[in-house]
Amino acid sequence: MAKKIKDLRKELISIGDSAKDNYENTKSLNAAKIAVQAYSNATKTAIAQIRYKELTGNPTKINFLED
Amino acid sequence: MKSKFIKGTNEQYSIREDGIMTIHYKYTKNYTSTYNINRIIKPNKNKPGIIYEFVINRKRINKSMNTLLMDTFGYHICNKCTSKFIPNKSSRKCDECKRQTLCDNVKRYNKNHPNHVKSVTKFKVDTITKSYVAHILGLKIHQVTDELYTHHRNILLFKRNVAKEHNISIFKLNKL
Repeated sequence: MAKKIKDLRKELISIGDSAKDNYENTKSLNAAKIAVQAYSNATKTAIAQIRYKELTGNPTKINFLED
Repeated sequence: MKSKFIKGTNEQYSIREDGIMTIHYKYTKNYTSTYNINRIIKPNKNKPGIIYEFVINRKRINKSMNTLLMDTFGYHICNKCTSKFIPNKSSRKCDECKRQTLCDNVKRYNKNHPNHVKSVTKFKVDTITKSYVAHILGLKIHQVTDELYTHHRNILLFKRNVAKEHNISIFKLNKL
């Protein structure tokens, strides 16, 4: 079980790589589909991290907008 | 069908919902009296489109059917499919027909210029720019890191390669 999103991304990329190797050997569409899905999910984790950084980035507090 | 008198003609001319124009009375030669006549006016054959020629206050006026319809009923009739539509600018076709005509023109051009199509598709395969990736991912360009760019670029190239090898579209590959 991955504790951080970085680890999850690495695992997804490794799944994608192995599926891609499988595809290159067998040329089966199923392997290609698994590789594409794994890579796409890895991209989604990166996007989620970008969005998170946007929400919690600097400055975290703007005095002018405070009550 | 409803019909309305055309403004400024002193109830001499009227137009129907489907764009047919009728004259109700005519002046005598010396313009002293009138006589009734209910006749449909035919469009002017010498001019393109549907243009009616009629006389108001001894002046010959040419107006298109759509202009008259816009003044009286507030819509245009499409020249291609004869459906009613409200135009943004002066136009003879509705949005659907315009889109269809554009698609037909593009198809005809691609059929007549196969070399141009090949060059365009080759350009697309070769260049996957950062802005293209940002657009697909729904991010701004400065948010796309180099790592993310190369990663997504490799996915796109892999997808295109698979689609080419199995002779299927990328849309079909995504739906598998």
